[in-house]
Amino acid sequence: MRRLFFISAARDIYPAVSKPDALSKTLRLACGMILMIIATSFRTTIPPAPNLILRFKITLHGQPLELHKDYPDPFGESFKLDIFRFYTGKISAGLNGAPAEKGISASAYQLIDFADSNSTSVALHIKNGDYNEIHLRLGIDSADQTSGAQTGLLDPLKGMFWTWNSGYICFKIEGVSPESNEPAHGFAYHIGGYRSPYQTIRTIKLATPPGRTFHVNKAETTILVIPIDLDRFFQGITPIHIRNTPACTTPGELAHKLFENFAGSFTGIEIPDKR
Amino acid sequence: MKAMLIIALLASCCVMLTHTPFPFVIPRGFPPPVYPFEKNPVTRAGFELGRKLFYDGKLSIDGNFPCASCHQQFAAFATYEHRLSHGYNNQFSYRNAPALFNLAWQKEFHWDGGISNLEVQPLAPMLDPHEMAESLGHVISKLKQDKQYPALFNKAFGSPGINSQRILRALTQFTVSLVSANSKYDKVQRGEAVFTQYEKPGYEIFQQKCAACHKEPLFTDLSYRNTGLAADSTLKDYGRMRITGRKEDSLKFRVPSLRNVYLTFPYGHDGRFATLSDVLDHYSRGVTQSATLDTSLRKGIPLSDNDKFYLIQFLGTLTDTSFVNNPLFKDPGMANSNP
Repeated sequence: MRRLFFISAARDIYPAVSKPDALSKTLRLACGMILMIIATSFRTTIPPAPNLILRFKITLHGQPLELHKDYPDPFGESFKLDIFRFYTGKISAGLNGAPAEKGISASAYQLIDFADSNSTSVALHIKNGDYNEIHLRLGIDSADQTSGAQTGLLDPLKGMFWTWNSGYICFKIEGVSPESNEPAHGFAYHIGGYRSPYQTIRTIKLATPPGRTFHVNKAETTILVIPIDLDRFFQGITPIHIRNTPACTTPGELAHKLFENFAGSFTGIEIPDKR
Repeated sequence: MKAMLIIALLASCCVMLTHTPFPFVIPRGFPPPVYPFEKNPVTRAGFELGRKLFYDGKLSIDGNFPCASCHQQFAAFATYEHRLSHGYNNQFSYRNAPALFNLAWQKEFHWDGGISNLEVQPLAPMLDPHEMAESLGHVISKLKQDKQYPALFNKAFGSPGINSQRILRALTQFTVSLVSANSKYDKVQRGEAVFTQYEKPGYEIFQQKCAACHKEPLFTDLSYRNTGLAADSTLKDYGRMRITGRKEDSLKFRVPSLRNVYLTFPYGHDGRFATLSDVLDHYSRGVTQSATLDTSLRKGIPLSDNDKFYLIQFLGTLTDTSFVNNPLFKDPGMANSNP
């Protein structure tokens, strides 16, 4: 409708033009305007091409951890992980504490699920520049916790929604350990909660190795690795022994402690060497 | 240009036809509803789809437990005469099924207020292994394979597709429309009826001794209170504390509405009281003391036998027969047949 209006407007501006070259000028002008309008209408719907990719990885004892494989935890307890999922969002990049540049991504939240390798990277568009920080938020906004039935990554179908105590699980670990006395030796940490004082939402600031920056530009995509160090998770502010704490599946004080440990297991940014 | 306008007009007319708004009337004297209708406007097609889902066993694992199996219209959508409801595989529910009406005025749901939005409430019974015992993915695939549902979802939401949000929003369009405000009490308020010589003193006692918590016109202040019910040793239900994790909330449960209270027995979060007399006896001489007991109940509620008699007479005026008989809310498969 808008485009049609502009065509007729262009005609009205040049009602008396009759010379062939002037007419083609008018036509070109009209075409240009149409293209401009199309371009502006697209700009609002399609996000800019990503130029920064964050790859999340789980590490243990300095090595990458794989799901479904047995490892000893830092206390020597044997365990294997079957599920490792968490929500993140509101990612931005900063330099030396200056106000961060917001990253633009396809959705407000990302669900990182290590059982699905397609989901462990987040593609963003960030303003060109040099940076040495990544800010990312763990957890779900309280407004989104209570706003009813949702779709996309917040669809309860994703298995990250508590049905009896409305709210999202922001971080979910499940696995098996001979140390656990729960049924089938399972252990499970379903961490979330948005009610005061046990909110599980936090923006964390991650830094590059000292003296290093990463560059973002239009021409190529910059890749960064964000490690999640399970040693720090188990040996965090509250040490977690699977034998003593095989389950946390409700919001509250314990969930909040586990969330602190989880937030503390993000150690920084790795800049992979360019090949 | 003109042709396009005409086409656009025709298209919007078609949209209007399938999206006929379903009237939600705020009863006289009621506060504004709190459900955010703007995100999920109730339409006739959406309401009808929600009603069909509400009465459909497909939402349960074995087909035997539709929402309506525990929420029966003749019991004001509570479970008639059951302390706890029955779910899949000969199991009991954890709590007494609450009556469903005037949900548009509630911000939180369940006895412990654990549900923060009406739209996500159905997930709790649907996925509870003691109740409907289903999985969300399985429900979606059953509905997608059904002969009728794909077209009904298309009609209700204006485009094809069945997802969890649409299922939950359709159910909400039905449940949020369950308004009960046409009891004898309401007629008296509107000047269309008068209380009998027994109901009138009952109403006065009610206003004096009960209305602080069972606040008119909803007959609940929607708060959580410990009314002196000791926890059952098998259920170990501490109410609101399960949600907030706060000791101060131990043994607190939602104040239930007293509308249709004659139909919603047994009473209490675990259905421990068979009759209204039992409830009144509890308040007058059965309150269990504990740290979180409601301050207004420290000494119980002094009620004489006469008070109890009159109160029960008054509570009978809260039965809304036009609500429990409303054909709009009946099982759509049975709506045209006589009960």
